[in-house]
Amino acid sequence: MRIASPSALPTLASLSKKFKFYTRYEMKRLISLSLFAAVALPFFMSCGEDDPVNTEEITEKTFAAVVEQYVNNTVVSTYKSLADETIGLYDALVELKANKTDNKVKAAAQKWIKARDYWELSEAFLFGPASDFGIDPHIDTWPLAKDELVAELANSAHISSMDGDAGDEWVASFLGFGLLGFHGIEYILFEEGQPKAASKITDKELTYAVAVAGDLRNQCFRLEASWAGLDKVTDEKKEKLEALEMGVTVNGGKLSYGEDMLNAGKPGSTKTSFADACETIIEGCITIADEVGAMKIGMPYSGEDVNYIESPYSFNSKVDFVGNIVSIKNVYLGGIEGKRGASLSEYIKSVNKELDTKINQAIDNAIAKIEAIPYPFAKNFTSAQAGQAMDACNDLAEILGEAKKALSN
Amino acid sequence: MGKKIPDLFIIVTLFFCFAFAACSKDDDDEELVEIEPDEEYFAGGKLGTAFNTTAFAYEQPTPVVEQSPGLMLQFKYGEALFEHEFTSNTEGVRHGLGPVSVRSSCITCHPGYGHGKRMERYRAKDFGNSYLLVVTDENDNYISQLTGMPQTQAVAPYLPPIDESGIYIEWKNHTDEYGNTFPDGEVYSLIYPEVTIERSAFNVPMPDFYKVRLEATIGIYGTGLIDAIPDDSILAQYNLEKSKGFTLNDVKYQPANFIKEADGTAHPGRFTYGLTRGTLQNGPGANAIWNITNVTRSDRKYHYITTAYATAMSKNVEIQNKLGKSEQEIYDDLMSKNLLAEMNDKDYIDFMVWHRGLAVPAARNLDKPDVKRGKTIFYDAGCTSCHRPSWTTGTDDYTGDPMVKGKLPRYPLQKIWPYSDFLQHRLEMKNDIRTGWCRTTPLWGRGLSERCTGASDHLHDMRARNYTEAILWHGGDAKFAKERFRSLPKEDREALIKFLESI
Repeated sequence: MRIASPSALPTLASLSKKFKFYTRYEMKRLISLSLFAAVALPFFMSCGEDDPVNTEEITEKTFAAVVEQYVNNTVVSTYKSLADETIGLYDALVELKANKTDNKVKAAAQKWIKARDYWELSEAFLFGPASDFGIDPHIDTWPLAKDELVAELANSAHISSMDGDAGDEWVASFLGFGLLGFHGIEYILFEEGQPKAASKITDKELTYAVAVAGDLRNQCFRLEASWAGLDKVTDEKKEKLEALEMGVTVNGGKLSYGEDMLNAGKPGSTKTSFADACETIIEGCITIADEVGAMKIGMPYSGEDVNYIESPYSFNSKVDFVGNIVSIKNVYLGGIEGKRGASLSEYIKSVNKELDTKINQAIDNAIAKIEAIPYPFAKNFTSAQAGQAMDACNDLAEILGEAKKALSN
Repeated sequence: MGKKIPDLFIIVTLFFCFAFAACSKDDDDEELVEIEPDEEYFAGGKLGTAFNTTAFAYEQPTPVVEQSPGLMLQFKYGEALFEHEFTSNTEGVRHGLGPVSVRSSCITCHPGYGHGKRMERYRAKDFGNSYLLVVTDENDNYISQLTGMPQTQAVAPYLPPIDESGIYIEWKNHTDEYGNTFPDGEVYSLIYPEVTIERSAFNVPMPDFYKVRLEATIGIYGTGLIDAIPDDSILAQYNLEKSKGFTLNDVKYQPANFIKEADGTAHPGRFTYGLTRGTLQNGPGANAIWNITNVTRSDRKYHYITTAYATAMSKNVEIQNKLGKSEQEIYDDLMSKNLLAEMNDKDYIDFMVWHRGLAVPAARNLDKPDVKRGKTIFYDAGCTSCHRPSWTTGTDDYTGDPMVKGKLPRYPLQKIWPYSDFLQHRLEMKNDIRTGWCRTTPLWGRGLSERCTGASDHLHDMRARNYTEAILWHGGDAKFAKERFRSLPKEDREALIKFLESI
């Protein structure tokens, strides 16, 4: 979760107003801002040397719209889909457990891929509840703790606990992250990139998978509710979270993580301004671009660690990586496909059109380069295309660093 | 926002472009004149400060790391070792957890790279539970049957030394000598933990008397800068405070008691509440990556367990049967001093590059009037007697471990602002820390805790839920400063907190 800092020098939003300075560069920026928010500038008539307050107000309004779009139509939208899909995955596994057929394995595997996709689409916002509540490591730790799984499946008392009504709670309390989440279920359902034959999955494995899927679902309910607010999720989700006594607010206070951002600058919010919130938003993007390039692709590609391969049983690695970059795209363009709106892109475009073009190109390039890696990644991680994809993701992280600078300058 | 812009937009835009044309005749000159902040903003000095106030503020590399592509890559690899789970697998990524462990990942105790969170129960798997159990006898000595940091996790068929279902944390209300009331009438509340462990929860023989305390993890960012402070400066601080009549833990400063390192050097303690570590290279992190997980490495080819535990496990017939080994074989396995290294040296060095490469968040808002006011109060009230604001690092020819010598980032001759004297004092709290001696906690960066970790608890067992409570728990040698704080008008108390949040 490291963020490449674009500069050793402070960002303006990071420091006090003492260091807010207005140069000819700044003047150019004011002009550009007018291109973006012209209707809000009826008083913006002087040369502006003495107009820092106006500039800040306008920028804050701009960023407020970006944050609103981000919270409601990117984050909450993605997490709602994730939570809904994990219900489907859980139900599919329950059905499979009740009637073990090849078709039901395939159906569950498809649900896993769908839920997985929404998780990867959320990885540009792994701060907040995903981090504070440890949900990211809880549901997405790899590699699988295989030796422990063998021991658990051989422990009849534990299998009995997993098989009970509260199996989801039991696994959350007693299994380590290496046995929870997506990759445990993946191991049960997939082999060599394909859904397993039903005959190759034991009843005990399904008991484990159902319990872990229940816990996965609960964790995703928490993600959605932590951003949307407990009263904005369905009764099913709310009742589950209340029964499990899962907190969904910042530091146990009154604000959900969404409200914390939407109330930036007001008492009670941890965000001092919408500009401050936008810095966090863009850093979430930089972090995952860096993670995909340097770690998810880079570790196996460079030979640093050939075991460091995400989703190795389903051969879903490339989809995972693309999902991560699309996650960045959604954050940068605002909302999700079909629900676009105010965006960081529009702001960056208004202050530095060339940079915006470069960022969009870097996003598209990263996706294209990942898609060009021969399938499956688990067997082609040393390919030249993997190296190119790694470089493309690193380039994306770097150019997003420029975007962060543009936000705070 | 940009998709349905009417023609009016273009008209207005053009208008503004013309209106500003006269002001921007030097369009080609885009030079941004950057004004460097005052030195106090550089909490970790020029080489050790990250200007980042977001949720990622504690995770940043120092400029020294950033400027070296090689160190940067090592930093990322080392970071992955900190952030991700170790498993009991016998090969592959992050293998080797156990046979017993305190936690299975570093970040569980350091959520968001911070101090952890106040917890209502002790469960090793609860994310953010940064507590270590401190189990001692009536003289505050560790119980020898347990490791200093007792484990509650085990890889089957082994049993953990302590079954955590038998651990209880009760938060009790505390009323101080002022009736929990400021002179101006404002009321506050204080809580503290009472921890008990059922005798039946121990899987090792226990003495008749034992008591339990909690110690939370300490922040990890900036520890490379702390390591770069010369020993002489720490000793000078000791002598200075001694000359002023402070009661200090003198035994720590007798050369015979300095901490001896693998490279033959010896140093006064500066890390941990107990000042048990003298260098970062043999510091809390360098040891924790081994003894919290029990993942062996080339210079730690043995387990962090006690003979009492090895004896208890080896005599357990059920374990003998499950392992298919004799009592002697099990005992020898557990107590071996020549185990295979589960973490290779390269990974360990990457981990230490990351550890020594973590930057300190820059200070914020120091020029705001209320923060300035708070700073004045902080100094006037005597807080700086122990929370020493700044230090200057030495040449930073760091020592402690030959394996990492010459491979880690360095921070020579930096003025840094940790706000600690790195000495121990006694705060005389109810259910106090073991021995009563507690190193002054650095205050740098703590104001970002809530946004980085989702929590903002303070003190060694997280009993303080905010800065005010933390100050009000100060007794003993720091009582005079607390009393000055208590006597302040409300707006001045708030200004002081603003200052603390800003450094």
